[in-house]
Amino acid sequence: MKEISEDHFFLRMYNKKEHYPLTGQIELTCKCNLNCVHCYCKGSEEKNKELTTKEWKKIIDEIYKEGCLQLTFSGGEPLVRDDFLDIYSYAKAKGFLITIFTNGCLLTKEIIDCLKKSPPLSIELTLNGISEAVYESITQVKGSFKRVMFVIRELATKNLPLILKSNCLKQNKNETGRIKAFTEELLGKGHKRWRFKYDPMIYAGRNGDTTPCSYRLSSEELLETRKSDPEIWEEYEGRLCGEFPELGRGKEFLYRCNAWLTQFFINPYGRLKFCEFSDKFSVDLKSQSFRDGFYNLFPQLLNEKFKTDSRCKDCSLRSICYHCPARAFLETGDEEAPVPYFCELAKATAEQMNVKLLR
Amino acid sequence: MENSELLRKSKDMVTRVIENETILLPIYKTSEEINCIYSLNKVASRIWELIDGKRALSEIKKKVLKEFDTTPEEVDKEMTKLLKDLKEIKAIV
Repeated sequence: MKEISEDHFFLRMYNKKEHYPLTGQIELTCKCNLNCVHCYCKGSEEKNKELTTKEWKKIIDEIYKEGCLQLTFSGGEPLVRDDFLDIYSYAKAKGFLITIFTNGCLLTKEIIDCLKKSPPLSIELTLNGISEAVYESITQVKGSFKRVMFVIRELATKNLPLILKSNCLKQNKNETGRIKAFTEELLGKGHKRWRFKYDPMIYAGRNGDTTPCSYRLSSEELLETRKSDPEIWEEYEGRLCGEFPELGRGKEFLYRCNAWLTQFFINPYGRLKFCEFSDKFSVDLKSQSFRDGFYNLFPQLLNEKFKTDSRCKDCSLRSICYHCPARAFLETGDEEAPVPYFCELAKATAEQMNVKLLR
Repeated sequence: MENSELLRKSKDMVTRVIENETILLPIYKTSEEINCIYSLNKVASRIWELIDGKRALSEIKKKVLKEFDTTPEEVDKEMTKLLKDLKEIKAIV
């Protein structure tokens, strides 16, 4: 018998590069107790269509049989559902390694005690401000800052695996470094399950609403944010030292993401998807099998080619660009269309890499 | 390790087969320990499968000898090591 870390095991599995449903993200609901200005879920709620506890358990049984090992429960806010603990415990008893994406505000003593007894792999809690004014200018709910700070301290006291994460927005651009400092003071440094992470990208709403994009930082502001903390900057610089990654496929092919080989998403209504931002190549698990969707439908995206003369096709920066068909469709309604903001970021990254722009 | 000993699996240990590899996952673990899982080779995996609270160790050994191209000494060695490890992580009671 060999004791191995979960990370080592996953790395070994990913390196096999086989089509296998190793990890899945389950969006339990699109509903949320907060009203964050940049949320991509807002407006995509479908009333009375969310799966029931029984339906989720049936799906969990199905993906268990297919050999999935890691599940992320997300939303919306997954704790809005009053059956969250029931679904969590059910999946946990089956041996899934579980990550919870949450804003934290609804973590009650009862839930925290249950998580302490049967801990998740990780709780990823979004903390988008370290002052009440900034945090609540994003969540738009009075009292939410006080509540989240109380919960964070409770989780830390119980030593539950906690990652505090922050999006980079206009509102909190001066607080990223301070949120990281707060995290490290509370949780310590140098541990993978107790740490800070940040996400520089804000996405358009899944209902096509581009309002969230108006809160994005410019490439200059993102640079400033990264410079606000020496370690964040060091990490960013480290990534810039590499060569441009290979696309791995001919430039005529539309999709260059391989995440679908080992990952899947299921939305609150039971739709199995290869990507959280796209409904293409998706199936309804209420009437079709997981196996059918994952193994027969997902690979069809490999056949998709550019149908237009989009300049993204021949762009030399494609391999470092945020552009992908799903994100482009969300933002422009056309999966092949360039997204000016992504172009700006890719150029800025290339400049930091000291790469001569070829176009 | 007595040949007549009957061992049972702990209810707090889940067995999963992921891409043909048997792994053991503890359900109730502390947050600090959660970042580890236990991987079994083919012989160990079969021994683990046969532990059911009813079969004696001698019976398990016989079955393994029959199913694998191995020697009694090798099976003894494998079983002794495995059972020690399983007891250590409280996978068997």
